Amino acid sequence: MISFSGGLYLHIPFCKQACHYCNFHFATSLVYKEKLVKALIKEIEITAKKFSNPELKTIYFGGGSPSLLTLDELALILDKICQQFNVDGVEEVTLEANPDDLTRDYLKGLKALGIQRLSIGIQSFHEEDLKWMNRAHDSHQAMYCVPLAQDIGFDALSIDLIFGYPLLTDEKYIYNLNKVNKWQVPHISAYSLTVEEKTPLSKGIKKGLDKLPDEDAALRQFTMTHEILEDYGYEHYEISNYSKPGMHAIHNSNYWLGVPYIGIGPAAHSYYSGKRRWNIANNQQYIRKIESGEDPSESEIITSQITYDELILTRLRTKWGVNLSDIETIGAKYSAHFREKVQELIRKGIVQKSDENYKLTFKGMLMADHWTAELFY
Amino acid sequence: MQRYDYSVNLWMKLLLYFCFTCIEIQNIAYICAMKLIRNFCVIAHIDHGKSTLSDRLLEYTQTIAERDMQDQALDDMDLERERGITIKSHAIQMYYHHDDGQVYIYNMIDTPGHVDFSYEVSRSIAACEGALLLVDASQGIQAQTISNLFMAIDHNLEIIPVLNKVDMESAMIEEVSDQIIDLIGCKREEILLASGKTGIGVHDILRAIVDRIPAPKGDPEAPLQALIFDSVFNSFRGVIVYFRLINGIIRKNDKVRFFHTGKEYLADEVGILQLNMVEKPELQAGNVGYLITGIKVSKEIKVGDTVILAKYPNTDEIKGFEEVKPMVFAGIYPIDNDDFEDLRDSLEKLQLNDASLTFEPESSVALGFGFRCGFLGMLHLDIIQERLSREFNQDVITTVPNVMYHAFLNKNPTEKIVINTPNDLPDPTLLHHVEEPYIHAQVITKPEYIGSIMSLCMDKRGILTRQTYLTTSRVELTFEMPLAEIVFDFYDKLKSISRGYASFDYQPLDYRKSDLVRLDIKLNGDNVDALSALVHRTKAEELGRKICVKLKDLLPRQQFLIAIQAAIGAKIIARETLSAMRKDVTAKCYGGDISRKRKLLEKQKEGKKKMRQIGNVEVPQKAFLEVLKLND
Repeated sequence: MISFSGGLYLHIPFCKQACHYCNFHFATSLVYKEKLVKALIKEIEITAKKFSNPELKTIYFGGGSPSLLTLDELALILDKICQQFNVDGVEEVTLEANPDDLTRDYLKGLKALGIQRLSIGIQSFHEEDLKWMNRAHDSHQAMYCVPLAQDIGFDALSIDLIFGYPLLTDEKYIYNLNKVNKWQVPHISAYSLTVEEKTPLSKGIKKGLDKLPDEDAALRQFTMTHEILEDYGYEHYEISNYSKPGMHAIHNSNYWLGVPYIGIGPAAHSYYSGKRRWNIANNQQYIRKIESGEDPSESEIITSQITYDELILTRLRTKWGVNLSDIETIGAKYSAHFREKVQELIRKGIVQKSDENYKLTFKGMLMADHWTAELFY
Repeated sequence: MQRYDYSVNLWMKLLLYFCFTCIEIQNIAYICAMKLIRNFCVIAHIDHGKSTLSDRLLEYTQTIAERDMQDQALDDMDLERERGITIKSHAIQMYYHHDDGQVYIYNMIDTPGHVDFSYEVSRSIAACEGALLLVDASQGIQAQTISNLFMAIDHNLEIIPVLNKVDMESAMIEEVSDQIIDLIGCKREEILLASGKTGIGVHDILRAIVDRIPAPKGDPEAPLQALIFDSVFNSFRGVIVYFRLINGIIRKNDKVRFFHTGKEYLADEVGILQLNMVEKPELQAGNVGYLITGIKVSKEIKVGDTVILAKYPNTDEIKGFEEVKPMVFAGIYPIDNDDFEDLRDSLEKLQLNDASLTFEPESSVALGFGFRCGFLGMLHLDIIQERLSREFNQDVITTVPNVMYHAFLNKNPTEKIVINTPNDLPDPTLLHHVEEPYIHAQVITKPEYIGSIMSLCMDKRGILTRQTYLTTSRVELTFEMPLAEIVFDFYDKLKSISRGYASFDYQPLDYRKSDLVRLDIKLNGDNVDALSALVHRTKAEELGRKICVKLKDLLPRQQFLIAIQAAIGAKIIARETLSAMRKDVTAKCYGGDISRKRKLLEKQKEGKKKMRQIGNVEVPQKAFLEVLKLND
């Protein structure tokens, strides 16, 4: 039997309402919530049984909206995790939460269950912005959830902000950044709005009801985030992520660092034993498959080329960068390819090199996808 | 000796007498046979029901059993059936049992139904003594019908007017009959009413063919003269030649000679054309048939050429032969450079049954290796492109089409240089003058569209030479205009401004002096040779602007600004600017979904591989494919 040591991701595919920009997998009806929780619990057990003494380093409830789970439901899931996995070495237990779900009692309950870290989807403090995004919370809830959580004893907080959308002026965005800094939260994710296919936003743009994000504003605000947050003592450790020293998100960083992870729930992704897997992105079908003992996942084998491409894709965008020795381990042809291609990017000021470690410069980050594709084998 | 001689003479005489009698009997038989032959074609506009009516004739004469009937039996290429037009002509023989007790042989010769193929039509007409003029009773006479009709009248064909689709509610029998009477001066009662769909009038037509169309006249004793009116390529038998015997007899194993190519072949097989080929030991003057000689390439067969016997090399040709010349040229390039040899193979195969297609290798900085191809016209170009895609699975990039120009240099203004690609146009400082081909164009339409059609044709540098009312509701406009102008978006415009109520036909006229320029498209100052076009100076700016705007849409943004320019020589006549790409980053990586992101970037990289480098600018192949669709 094979061993496992890494992260556990649980996808909670329910939301109160659909944010207009979001293309993640979720349902807005809670009809199947109970059945789904049962299925999650069953999948935890089935998966854990594939390994001998699997141990977890991080646990992450993502979604969707994990804060729609009741404390009882969370308790059931966590109990199962503790029963099936060795959790002695767990360094981080995170739950994504929406401001409108964070009541004093709920927060207390989370704390009691052992949730250490909250990632709060605030996005903006401006009422009209939240309406435009079709968020479930209002600006009042955005303002009060953080002090409340801190009051309950959640120090490890992360706040999500979005920039680059048509309603966001530079002044409003600076207000958002200052607000977060005032609370001294240790971690901030600042995402540039991406128009994804098949979202209400992309449909609105096609119909002419919404404007495309302004690229100039997005670039300006990206630069602002970088400059202002570094001034405030945050480290820009991944394209969209900033943290106080030593406070980076362990679970999410492990995606970039190639640490294995198990994904539980519909549309959840896993990476272990040289394969990437993804569960079916449909709640009912997921439940049916789990109930009938069918494998809900599809997978792909990671070839050496894929290993190389993914190393570039994941590492280049982080402060940890890519080590040439790691590439050499995959194969000499890859290191030769990389060495040849990267010269031009160093010359252009896209990639910076220190010893045999390579990472994107700030300039390089603006077109990270473009340069990554350029370095692919 | 005397006796012996005498006896020999006597025997000789007897023998000769016997032979003469036989030949005489044979001749009488031939002449009788000729009296029972009727050769005719059908003149009709696309959609006027020619194929359907032909099918009814085949059924009625039991040439085809109903169960064998695939709708429109005569069009045997998929493409033809789909487009509802007959691209290559065919012939078919049927037998008609007349009330007079005789069985008549009908050779129906099909004609291609599009403007690009007017020479082929003329050869089919030359093989007949009569023509069915088929007119859709709800649509009336169209331009192309008229030009083919005049061609038939010029060849002294007996015209049998037939109003088709008379069963339709929208049929305007009186009005369209008036048009026909005006046009050919027939009597009203001579016009037959028919419907290919229901079979009305089919018997009347079959009868009229015997009664009105004269039997062929020819001399079976004269040396062989047969008119080639078509050929098809068969992968087992080689090229099959379709001919009409004017004089003489053709027999299996005859040594034949093609008058214009001068080549000689053995007649491996001769026969008549029914639904399948039916082999015969010989065919006589007046009949229509096929000839197989083992020719492998259709280039050796020229439509309009005369088949004669090799032993009578001084036999005259049948008048009217023309060398078919391509009228429109364009570069055809494989999308993937590696497919160049495959493309050559495919073009060679297409040429086997389409001798009017010409091609020779050329190369382009932007597109690599490809072929300069010559076509009879724009429809022909479309057909070739579509056949490449459909029959050979070859998707290609086609460059801006142009016509064939004649250039004359200052150093010798009488020496003609043929230009069929933009790169061949000499430097303007060396040029004495350029000539471009003109056509004689006819448009038939309703009077309410005269104004807009005239302005379209004028805009296309046309000169109105005649305006004739065929009837009160149909007018024929005749223009002289440059062929180059119908290469660009002419048909579509004509169709839209007349709401489909305009038909068009053209014939080559002559070459005239032209103010021709080469329009170049530049990306950041570098020429995109594949997008260069030969164009009249007055049209250059409009075309240049259109291409620039379209390119701006099609080019992906790159890390620097791109100037898209249209130029004549050093002079820039249109410009668009594509701003630099400054942001390309996925903010979030959802729940560890590395695969999706990797696949997106792999696709991005794959797309880049397929790009063509013009200077420092990367151009996706799609841009070359799309940029010339300037109509939308």
